[in-house]
Amino acid sequence: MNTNLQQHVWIAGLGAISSIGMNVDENLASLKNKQSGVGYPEFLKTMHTNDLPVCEIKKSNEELALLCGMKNGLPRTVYLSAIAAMEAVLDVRCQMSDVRNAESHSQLATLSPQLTEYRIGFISGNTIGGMDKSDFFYEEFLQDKSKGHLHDVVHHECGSLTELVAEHLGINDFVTTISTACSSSANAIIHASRLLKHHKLDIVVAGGADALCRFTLNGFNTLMILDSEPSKPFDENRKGLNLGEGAAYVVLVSDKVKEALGLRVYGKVAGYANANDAFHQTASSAEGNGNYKAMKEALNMSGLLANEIQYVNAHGTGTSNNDSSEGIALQRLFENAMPLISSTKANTGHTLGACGALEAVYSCLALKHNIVFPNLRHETTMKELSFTPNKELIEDIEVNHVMSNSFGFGGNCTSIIFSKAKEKK
Amino acid sequence: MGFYINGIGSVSAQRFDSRVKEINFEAPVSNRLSCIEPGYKELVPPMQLRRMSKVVRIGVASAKQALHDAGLETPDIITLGTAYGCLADTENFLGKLVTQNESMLTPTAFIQSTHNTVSGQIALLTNCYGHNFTYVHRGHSFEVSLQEAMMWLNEKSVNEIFSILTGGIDELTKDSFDIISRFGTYKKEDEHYDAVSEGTIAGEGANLFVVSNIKNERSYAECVDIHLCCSDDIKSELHSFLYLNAMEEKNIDTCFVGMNGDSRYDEIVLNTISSLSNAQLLGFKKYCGEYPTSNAFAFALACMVLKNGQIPKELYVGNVAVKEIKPKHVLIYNHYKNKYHSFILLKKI
Repeated sequence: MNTNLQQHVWIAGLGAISSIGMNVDENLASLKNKQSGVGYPEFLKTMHTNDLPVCEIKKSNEELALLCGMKNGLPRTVYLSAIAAMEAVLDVRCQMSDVRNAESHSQLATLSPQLTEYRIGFISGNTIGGMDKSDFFYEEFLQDKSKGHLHDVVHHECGSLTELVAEHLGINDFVTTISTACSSSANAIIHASRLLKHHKLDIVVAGGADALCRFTLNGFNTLMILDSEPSKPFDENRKGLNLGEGAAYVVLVSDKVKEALGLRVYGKVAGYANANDAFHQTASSAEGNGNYKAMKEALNMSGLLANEIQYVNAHGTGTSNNDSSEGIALQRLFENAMPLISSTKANTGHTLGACGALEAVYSCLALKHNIVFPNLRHETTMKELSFTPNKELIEDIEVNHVMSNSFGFGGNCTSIIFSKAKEKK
Repeated sequence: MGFYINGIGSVSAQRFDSRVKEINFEAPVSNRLSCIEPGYKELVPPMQLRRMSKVVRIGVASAKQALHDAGLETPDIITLGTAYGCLADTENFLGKLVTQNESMLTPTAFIQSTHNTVSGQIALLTNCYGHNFTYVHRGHSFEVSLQEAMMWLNEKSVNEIFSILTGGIDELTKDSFDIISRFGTYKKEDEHYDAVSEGTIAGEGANLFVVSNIKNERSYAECVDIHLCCSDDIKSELHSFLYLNAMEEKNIDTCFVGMNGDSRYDEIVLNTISSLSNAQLLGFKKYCGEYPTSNAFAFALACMVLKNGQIPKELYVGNVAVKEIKPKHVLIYNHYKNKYHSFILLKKI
C-alpha cells in the first residue's frame, strides 16, 4: 500500500435547489414545515399538464439563468447545477477572509486566490444531459436531416453540462461526470471522497443535477410507476413516484484544507459503498440484496455499529417495488434496532440524478440541527414491513450518524454515511 | 503503484485475437468505420440478445471476451466509460415521443437508454454484485474509469487478488453520424484517412479489460500510471508525468499517438511529443476511427504489443519503422478535439 487512506473527508459547504426551495435554508424550512413541491407542471412543455403531477421549480429558464449569471439558451439542468454549486462554494467562501472585498455575488461564488493554491475538482452526476434541448432539435431533425439548430444539440452529452458549470465556477484541475441513473450524484460524492483519500485532490465540489424533461416524464410513465396523486413513500397503498427536479452539491475538503483554512464543517463522509443488485435492469430484487450489500459495506467502512445510526434518509421513491425491497433490506440490516427512517421524496419528488446529493445535503442538515425529517402522507404500514417511517419532525434528539440511500436503474445501489465531526479532546 | 492487464475484450472495426501476434489491419474505405460485431452465440443468451441495441451487445460481448481471456467468470467490480451512452435507444424513444406526441410509448427503449445500461447488463450476466460505475465525461470517459480502477487496486493488499472490469464503449448511429458531421468533425465521404484535409473519420467500439493488482501468466503488461488533463501546456504535463514516474523522455521506446488524420490537429499532437527522442511513433485511429473512448482501442493494442514483443507494421506513423525495437516502455498519448488530453504509461512485465 502506498496510499495513506486515513485521510478524512470533511463536508465544508452545502448548496441545494429543489421544488421546495431555491437554496439550502429554504429547503430546510420546507422540510421542517412539511411542505411539498408537488403540483402540475407550468414550465415543462408536455401533454401531461393535467394528469401527471411533478415537483417543479417555479422559475423559467430565463429567471434561472439570471440567478446564476449564465447566458440564455442552455439546458435547464445547467442552471440548476450552477445555482446549487455556487451556493455550496459560497458557503465555504463565507468563512474566508477575502470575502468582504468581493464585489458581487457571482464573484463570491467563484474561487479566490486563497483556494486556487489547492487542487480543486468538480464532479457532477446527471442522467439526461441536455435532453430538454435535444428534444427540440430532434423534432426538426427528424423531418429534415439538415434542420434543427445545432446549438440545441451541442450540449446533449451529460459531460457537457458539468463542463459549463465547472467553467462558470473557475474549476479546471479535475472535472468529471458520472451517470448511473438515480444514484448518479451519490456516486459523485463517493468518487470525490476516493480522490481526496488518494490525495489526488484537496477540495472537491461534488453532487448532481437533473431538470424535468419530456423524455424522463414519458419514460417513467411507460413504466407505469408514476403516481397521479402526490406520492406516499413507504405506505401500503402507495401508487408510484412523482418526478422532481433539482440540484445539490457538497464541498468536500481534506484534513489539510480544513486545518489550513480553519473551516467549520457539517460533518464527514464516514462510509460509503456502491453495490449491484444484478437482478433486473429496472426492478429491485424482492430481498433487496444490492440495497443491503451497499448499506452493510458502507457501515463496515464507517466502523460504526448498526445501532449507532440514528436516522436513515431512505431512497423511498414511493413505487411498490423500491419501498418494499429497500424496507426489507433495512430490516435485514438493522434487525431489532431500527433507526428513524424517512423519505424526503414526498417533499421533493424523485429528482433522479440530483437526489443522492440533495438527500446528502438533507442528511448534513439533520446532523447540524439535530433533527429528523418527517415522511409525508404516510397512513398505513406496509404489510411486509414491521416498521413505520418517521411521520413528524423530531427536534429533541442528538443526531450523530445519518445514512443516505440512493438506488437506480441497472441495479445500481449506493449508501453513504455522514457523521458529525467529533470535538477535539 | 501500477497494476496489471490480465484480459482483453475488443470489438472494433478490426478483427483480431489479442492472444495472436499477427493482426490483419483493414484500412478504412470511407469516412466512417463501423465495428465488426462478433458471433454472439457463445457470449449472450439469444432471448436477451434480441432486446439489446448495438452498444449493449458489443459492450456485453467484449466484457465476456475480456473475462474469458483472463480466465474469470465474475469481476470484483465494474467501472466503464462512455461519452454518448446508449444512443440508438435514446433516438428510438425520443423519436417516438416526438412523432407520436407523447402517446402510445413503450418502455423498452427508455429502460435501455440509461447511460449505465451496459455496466448494469454486464453485472446481470456475470452475477457481479460489486461496485458498478459509469463515467460519461466526453473525451475522458475511458481514462477516468481506468484511473478509478487504479485507485481501487491501490487500496488492496498483495494478499488479496482483486480484478476489475474496465474500459470504454461508444456507438455510432446513423443520426449521430449525421449530427456530428454537421459540426464539421469528419472528412468528406470519399476522402481517404491519409488525405491532408480537415476532419477525421468516425468510429465506434467496445474495448474492455480485466485489470488486477496481481500479475499472472496471462498478464499482458503493467500499467504504471495514468494522467488526464485539459490544460494548455500539454508538453509540460507530459514532462511532469514522466518525472513523477521516474522516467526520462529518452526511455520511452514506443508511443501510441492519438493522431486522427485531421490536418487541424495532427501537427500540434506531434509537436507535443517531440521530446520523445527515441520513441517509435504508432497511430491507431486509422483503424478504429475517432470517437470519445477510442483511447481504449490504443490501450488494447499497447498491451498486445508489449506482450508479443512485436509491432504490426501498419501502425507505424508514416508507414516507416525508425528502427527495429522490442517495446519495453510504451506511452499512449491521446487527445480528443485537442481538449481532452491523456497519458498512459505501460511497461513490459
